[in-house]
Amino acid sequence: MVALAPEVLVVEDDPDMNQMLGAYVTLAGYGYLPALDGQSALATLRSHRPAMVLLDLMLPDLDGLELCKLLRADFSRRDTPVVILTARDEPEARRRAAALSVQEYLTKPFDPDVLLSVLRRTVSDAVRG
Amino acid sequence: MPTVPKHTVLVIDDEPDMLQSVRDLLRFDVEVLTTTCPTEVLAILASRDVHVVMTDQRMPEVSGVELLEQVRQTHPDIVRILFTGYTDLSTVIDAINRGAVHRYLTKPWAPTELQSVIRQACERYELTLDRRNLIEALREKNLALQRADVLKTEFIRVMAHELRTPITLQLGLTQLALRADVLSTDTRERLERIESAARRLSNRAEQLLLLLHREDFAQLRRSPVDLDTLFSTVIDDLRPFTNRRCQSLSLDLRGPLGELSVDSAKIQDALVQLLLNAVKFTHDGGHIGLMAERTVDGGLSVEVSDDGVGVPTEDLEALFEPFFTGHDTEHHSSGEFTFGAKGLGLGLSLVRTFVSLHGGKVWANSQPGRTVFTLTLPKV
Repeated sequence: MVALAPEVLVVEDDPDMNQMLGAYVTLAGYGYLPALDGQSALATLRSHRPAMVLLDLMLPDLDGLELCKLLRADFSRRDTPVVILTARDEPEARRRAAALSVQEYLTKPFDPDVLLSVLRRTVSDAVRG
Repeated sequence: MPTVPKHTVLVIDDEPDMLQSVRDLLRFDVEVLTTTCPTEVLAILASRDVHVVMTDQRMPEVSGVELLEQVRQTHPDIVRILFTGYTDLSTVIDAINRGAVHRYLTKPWAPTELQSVIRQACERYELTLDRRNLIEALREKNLALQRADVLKTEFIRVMAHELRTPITLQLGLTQLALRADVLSTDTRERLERIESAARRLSNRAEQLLLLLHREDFAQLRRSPVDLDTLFSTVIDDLRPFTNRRCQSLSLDLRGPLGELSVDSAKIQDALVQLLLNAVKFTHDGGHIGLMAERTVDGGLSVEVSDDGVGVPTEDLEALFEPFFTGHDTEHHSSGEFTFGAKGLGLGLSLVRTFVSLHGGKVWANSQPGRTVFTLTLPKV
């Protein structure tokens, strides 16, 4: 049996940004699952079991933190690590994110090296369990 | 060449001779309208711009005071003058005290006295008008400012997103391109220049956003806040971070703290920033403490302490400056960024802004192995 690479779900409404984040996910050696809005992210979460979620806060249909809350409420997916990547650097959003036990809160623009190391650390922690 | 008088005075008296004498006396100073019939007054006021109304008290159909009361109802800006003989003084004083009448004259009057009273009445009219115009202009300005303020806040939000997204793409894609296995020296150099320009753009944008934000933050919304609740909320907010870093976090409230009138969101932000700062510069497994007590003068004193890497003495004050990034990167706990990756650049300068808005102070003391941030807030 071939061990499949862990997958990372990238939830980001800007297609260019989503694709670029995907390139970093691939560079880190993981599978890339894109979602351009909250609903398709939820659908992917039902059909796949990503090792982590990279989440933008401003989505067209759903606040990113709401999506995070739904994820935390789902018994089979609640331990999935979430890394926020947002242009919204507001204390209130940080507080709410912290209360939802997100792994990291990165702000755009991000340092690609930082993103790569967050991806690697978060996924390897998750895979090791 | 005679100038056209600026003001119009309406004079009411049931004696035509009296009206004629007033007209003769005032005709060079003001335009004089006269009537012997008080019931015509409202019709005249409706058709002409009148600035001063002057009436006799004793008339067959209606008293002067009653007439002026009516004028006050329909034309509050018109200056109202009553003239009368000595016998009616108590009625007149009562009318003045009720505000129905601005001035009164006793008959008979000296010509210069009448002229002077009328001149003052016209000035009074102009002052009232000026004041109303100024108040109206001020009100409009205030509304415009409020609208501008709302727009500005919205502008900051939109701009933050609109600027940060393309900058992120530029930086991210350039670095991806730089990771290619085969790159000519020229191409590599150009990509590096694009990258450095994108970084400069990014820094400028962040500085701009911060400056805009600071003004936006400059409003305090104080209300009485239960301090014990506030501190436990802050600790609950921080717990996920300290747990992840295996740090212990203790809360030491010296007695029931009661209430203090503060902007709760700003003080919570300030405390969270101080604590996050402590988390970031304390090793895994370290200890972070939050102590609070009321001061003798009714204020509040808070200490955030950690047993982390410490701050060099020369940096203690600069810590609170915006964009302070003078810290040695190797002093980052376990060589890694953590939650709140922006570091000292913004957090502590916001803490000082928020605390200063409350009239409080914040400062740091540090030695390797123990750093204490103290925050004091005065009673309002």
